Amino acid sequence: MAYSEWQLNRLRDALRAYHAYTPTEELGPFNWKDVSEAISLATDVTVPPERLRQFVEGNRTKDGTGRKFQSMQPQSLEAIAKFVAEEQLLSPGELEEHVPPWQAAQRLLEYLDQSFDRQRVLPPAMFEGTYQARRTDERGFAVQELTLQRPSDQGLMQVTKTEEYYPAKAEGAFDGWTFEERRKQRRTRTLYGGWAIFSPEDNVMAFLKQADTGRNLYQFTLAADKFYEPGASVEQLILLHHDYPVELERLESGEAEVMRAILQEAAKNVLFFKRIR
Amino acid sequence: MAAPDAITAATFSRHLAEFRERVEQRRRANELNTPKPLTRSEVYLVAQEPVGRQFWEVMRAAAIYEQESISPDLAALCKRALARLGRDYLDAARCGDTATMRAYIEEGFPATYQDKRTGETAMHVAAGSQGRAVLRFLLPLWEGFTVRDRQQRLASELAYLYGEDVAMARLLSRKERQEAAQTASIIRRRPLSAFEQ
Repeated sequence: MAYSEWQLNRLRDALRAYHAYTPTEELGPFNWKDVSEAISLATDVTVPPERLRQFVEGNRTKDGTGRKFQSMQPQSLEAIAKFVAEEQLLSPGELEEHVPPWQAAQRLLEYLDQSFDRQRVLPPAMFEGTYQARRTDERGFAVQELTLQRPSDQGLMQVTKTEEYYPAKAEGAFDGWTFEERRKQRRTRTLYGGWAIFSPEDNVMAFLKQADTGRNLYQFTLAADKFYEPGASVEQLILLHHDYPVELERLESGEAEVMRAILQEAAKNVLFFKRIR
Repeated sequence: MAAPDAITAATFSRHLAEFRERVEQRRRANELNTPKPLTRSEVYLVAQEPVGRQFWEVMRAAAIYEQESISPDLAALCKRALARLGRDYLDAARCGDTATMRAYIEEGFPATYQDKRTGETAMHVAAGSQGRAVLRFLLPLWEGFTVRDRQQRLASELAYLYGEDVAMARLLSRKERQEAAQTASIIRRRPLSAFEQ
């Protein structure tokens, strides 16, 4: 298995934590020879201590401005991954790339597919790209970025979303801020990942999960521009976002009043995404 | 504890609406002013004598401690109400809206509320969403650093894995160790049962 940079960093962090661990007050912390021996005992693979140190701590670059990390043989990396999992420094899930399972999406597409369609025809306009929606409410100024990947021939695409909150007064100044200023002003940032499909009726149905809690979020198209212009990029994507159903406080309310309450709540869940990339 | 006579299932909605109104008033006031940080002892005093004392006595008895002395109808209403208020409180944490969080706590809502389904607390939310402002707000009043969510994760783990904030992860893990030492318990990164599941 090939490891990406963030996975290597996580392995480095786990080894660094194990190395810094102090077994007893008298013995002091482990040295790299101890770590190498522990890996060898757990996996029957020997990784020389100095190589291990260079992998975790790296060496200062010649110009003195940064660090260069030693690369590792694939079998050594496998051994390290097995070792950190056995020592409960990382759970196997924490080392896996977040790839949403596709089977459910595939099945949903098959279910929605109509047998009289000889061939699956996707909307001619381009949906892939990054869109941004902004909104200010009593919670603050929210900036949501939605990235749709290029769809497969069946109409399946990967989706990522970030939701950032800033103080409400940030709305006017936001565009003038540099990346660093935005980072300083930002109150929270939440990540979502998942997939989306084009239904045969050309609806975009996105099923996302909040990265840290796994909470579900569904978003469906309400409107989009340039939908049927071949080769054109969709500039505006208006999505209806669902999480919890609207709970009605009183059963005895009139139908018109209930409808007003529902529309008021639903209006909060309509998101205007505009293409930014 | 017997249910106070003043609140019944029939009058519960009114008391809940009054609670919400008071929270909204406090939220607006908190947004306009910059109040001093809340401390643990202040939160304790508020919890002892909240403004809507009767409301919280019923809520605590029915929804938090699940006492049988409360009528089943009222208990069901209280549990539903607590879940909805809790969702709103955690949502405020997710948005970094400390004015609302403070208003809830000042009105007697338990600061360390834990969602029944996900097991997350406001501290987990702050850690998982890079919420440094929320963390700063919660630190002086928080107790329960060693509380885990339904996936057996500590807030420091979420800060590292999802918040990608190493400084926050270190600060929280130090607090977790201190709290564990006070209760003479050993804190593992994750209990063994989490791996066996």
